[in-house]
Amino acid sequence: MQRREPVPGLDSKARRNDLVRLAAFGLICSLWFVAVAWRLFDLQVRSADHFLDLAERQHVSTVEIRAERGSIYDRHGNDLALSSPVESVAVFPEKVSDPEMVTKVLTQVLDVDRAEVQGKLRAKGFQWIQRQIEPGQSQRLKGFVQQLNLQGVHFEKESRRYYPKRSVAAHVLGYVSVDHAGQGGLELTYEDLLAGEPGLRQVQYDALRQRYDSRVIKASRPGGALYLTLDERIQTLAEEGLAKAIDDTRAAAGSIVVMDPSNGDVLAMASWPTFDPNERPHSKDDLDRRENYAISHLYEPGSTFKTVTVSAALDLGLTNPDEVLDCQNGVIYVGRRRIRDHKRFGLLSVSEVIANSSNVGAIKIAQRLGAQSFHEYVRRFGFGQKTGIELPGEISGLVRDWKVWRDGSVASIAMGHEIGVTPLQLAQAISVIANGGKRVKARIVDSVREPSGHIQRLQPAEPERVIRPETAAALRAMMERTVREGTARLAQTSGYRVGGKTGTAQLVDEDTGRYSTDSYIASFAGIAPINDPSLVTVVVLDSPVGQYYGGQVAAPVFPDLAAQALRFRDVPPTEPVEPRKQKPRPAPEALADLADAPPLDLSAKTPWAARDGVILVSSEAAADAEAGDATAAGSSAPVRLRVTALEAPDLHGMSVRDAAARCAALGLRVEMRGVGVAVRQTPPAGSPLEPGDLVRIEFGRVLAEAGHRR
Amino acid sequence: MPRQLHYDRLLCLTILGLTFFGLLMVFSVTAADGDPNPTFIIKQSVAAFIGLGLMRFLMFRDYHELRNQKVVFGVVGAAIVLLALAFVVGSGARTGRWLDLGFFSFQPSELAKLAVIVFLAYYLETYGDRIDNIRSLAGGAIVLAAVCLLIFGGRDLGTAVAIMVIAAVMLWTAGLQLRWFLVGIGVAVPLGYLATIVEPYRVRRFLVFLDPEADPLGAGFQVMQSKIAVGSGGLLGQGLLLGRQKMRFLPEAHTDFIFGVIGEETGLVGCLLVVSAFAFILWRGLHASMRAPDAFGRYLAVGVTAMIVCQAMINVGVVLSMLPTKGLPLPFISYGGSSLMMSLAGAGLLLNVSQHAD
Repeated sequence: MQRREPVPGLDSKARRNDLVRLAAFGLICSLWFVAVAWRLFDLQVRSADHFLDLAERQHVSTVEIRAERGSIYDRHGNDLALSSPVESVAVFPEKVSDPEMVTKVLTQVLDVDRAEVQGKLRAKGFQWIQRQIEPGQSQRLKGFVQQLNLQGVHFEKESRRYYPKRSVAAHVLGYVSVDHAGQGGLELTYEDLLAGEPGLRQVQYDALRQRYDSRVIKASRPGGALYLTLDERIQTLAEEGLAKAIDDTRAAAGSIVVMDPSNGDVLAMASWPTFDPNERPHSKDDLDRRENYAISHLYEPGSTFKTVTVSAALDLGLTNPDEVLDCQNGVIYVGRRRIRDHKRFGLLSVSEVIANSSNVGAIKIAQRLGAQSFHEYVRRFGFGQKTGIELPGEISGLVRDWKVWRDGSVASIAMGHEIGVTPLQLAQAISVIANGGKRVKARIVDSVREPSGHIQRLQPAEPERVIRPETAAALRAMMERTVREGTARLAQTSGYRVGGKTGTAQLVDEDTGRYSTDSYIASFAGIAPINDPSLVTVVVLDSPVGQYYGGQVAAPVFPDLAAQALRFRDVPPTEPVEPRKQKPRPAPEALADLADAPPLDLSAKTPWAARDGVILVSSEAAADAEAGDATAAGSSAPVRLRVTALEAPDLHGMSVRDAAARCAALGLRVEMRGVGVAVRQTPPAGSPLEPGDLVRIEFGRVLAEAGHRR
Repeated sequence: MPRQLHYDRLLCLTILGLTFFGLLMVFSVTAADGDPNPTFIIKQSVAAFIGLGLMRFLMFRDYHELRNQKVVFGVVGAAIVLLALAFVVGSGARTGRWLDLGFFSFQPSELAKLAVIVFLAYYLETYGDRIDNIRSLAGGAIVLAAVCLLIFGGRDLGTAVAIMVIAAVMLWTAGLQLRWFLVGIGVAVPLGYLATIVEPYRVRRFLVFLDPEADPLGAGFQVMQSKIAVGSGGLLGQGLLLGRQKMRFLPEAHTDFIFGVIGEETGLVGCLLVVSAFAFILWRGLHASMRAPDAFGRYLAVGVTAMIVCQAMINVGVVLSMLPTKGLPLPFISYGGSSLMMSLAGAGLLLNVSQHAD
């Protein structure tokens, strides 16, 4: 086949040999190609799923797009909680064409460090510059970016929960966690509604986990909104009033509930201690502050409960407001217990029993009722069951079944002991009296705006008759009298006729199971105006220091709050308005007859008590066994602790609070100076004293001086 | 009247097809989403343009003009000088294998491949019948060793191996006795062992080749990612431009591992087409070599065929982890101007020889 002259180096033998060798080379290569084809088949067909799975796992991830959380408004549409979309700023350094200008703009608008920005612009891939910037900053930055046509600056939409009024209604609203989940209050109850439905975003990552592409595969659905029954102005009033009362009395905790008795609308619900829901809790103490005292805290209501006792008896026709009872010089024996009034009352009408808060009178009335029907009325007033308010953490209170009541239970309950209630339950019960005898259900959410935009009003429950209208009217008259001339005189409100009832209950010392000798709950329940009730208010102060009677410390919170709130509710004054002047706080002596429901026998072993959901029921045997050394002071007859003369206590080393509480418990007046612990007292410990005597205490800092601890 | 000569049109089309497909893949890797950088595809297109010009030039000149002592030694001499120059003043971050020419960095080792082929073709034609004589072998061996050492000195083991494989194929074709290959293997294995252990990365690559799963985030990363790329392509691939392994998962996706991207984006079908194209080049190359009118043409043809096909086989073998990792481009397709231009120049020579084959 040679078409040219033979060329050197290609003789026929060599040529044949060459062809064989070329063919051999070709064969080897072909074998390799077959091996490659087989390998390709193996990887791309037989193991394709496996590798596809591996690829998918490293390339793509699906992330949730948080839906915008719905807002919470008060009854007038004022913002209480809202989520505002905020933006976060990031850069893609590879896309930045003018790093100098970008750095300049970023450092000018944001609170970022120049060197830091420069560092990030030198890095690779997506870099956060600043997260959740203020809307104003967003706007300015975007303006710059647009005007200067800057490349590589990225805005990421995020959302932040704001409580613009800070601590206002904090316990009602609750708060959200870092990841925007409701953690308390309405934020928790209505989590599903408020949260909305998250969307999904598919993000593609490169090998350095930097996203290079993302797209929304399901859009998020914003949450619905809540309109509350709360009135922000009244809520603020209540919180200010509570804060001032806490400040004045140095109480450890407290609550104020304001309710519209006609429909159960909670207009204000304040609790102390309080918090700012914009802040995240850092400690157990922070979390404790988030407990809503108004619904989560159990206490024995004391004399405010006498309204229920008398209502029941009147309603059953067992007595009438003008019936006169013999209050036996302020002493009554119930079984082996001796219960006394704070004054040696003689003859009191039923109306006066309420006005003066006579224990003896209340017990006598309750005894006519008998356990079963008394229990039935207690339940019908709503005690022992949750009000069903739309807030988490509500407790049902403690009302034992009448069948397990002991001999003295009727007497105890008549005075508001042996029963555990919440401030909200009491407000609801007082609303029965204000509302002509019908019980309305407490409610705090007025309407709900569904994500679809549809607004749904949550209808108030049908009122339930508890007592006859005449009974309710009689009770209102008694409560008005209590304010006019009884223990609640400090609740008198300029311009309005109001009614109320005070209460003072001893707290249970959880260490000993006895009623504490120095811790009280002072409370007041009021109705305003009493002739045409527009609001019911319950004030509870837990462990005030110094004065502790409800009539002394809780009632004074009421007038300002009620008068202002009535004005906000467009209820005009019906009485002449006294010129507003700062009334000097009356001296304790002058208030002595404001004492309501004076303590049970001091340091007596309590047969039954409830606090913080703990029921303390001691067996009779245990009570007897411990009776012998019931008091550290060595009194051998603890049940007869009718003190006429006493010794000055040793106050050394006590805190201001403890010292004041101890003196108050003994009926001593105190004059305190300094801060720290008690270092000096006059008269010295052990001196004979009369109740009402003055003790002067000096406080200071003591450095490791162990000598005088009590 | 001389007979009208026809070059191998199918072979030419195959080469053009591979070249354009290569441009498409380089575009896919470097200019699709992620952080696009258009300089890659621009440079590669310029190289393709120049390369095609070279190919055309070499196709239609009489290849016997190369069969001239001055030309052959000129070419080899130039290659050696450039290699040495690159070794001394070389640019490039980690290797002394580049010559900076401003817009382009030229890789003299690519030129060296072609120079060695031309040199050996001439040498084997001259000493063809005395090839088993050690004295006649020595001259060629010295030139070969010089070139390989210079390339190896530039830490480019892959190209050095490729040149030795090309040389072996040419020597084999020329009738070198089997015992010389055994001697060669006897020398190459210890040398290869030494070459491997002096560079820790080569040891790692080798160990990873034996057990890719041992270190999936470290040295095994490339091997694993390469398999994921090819495997996830499945039968038909993810679609051109739609591969995701090039998003920094697959290292060297635009150069030595571009076959992985082909696997991911075009699947088994695309891979087999590419492999078949090289098999076709093998067939047509050997055909041209067998029908070459003279020894020079035959050796030239088989040398170029071996250069293209052996590189492709090694490259694909590495991507499919049938071979330990080695830095060799896929001819006509991988990004790299020098490689593309020299491959096209070689193809021009092959097509030139093929004119005598029909």
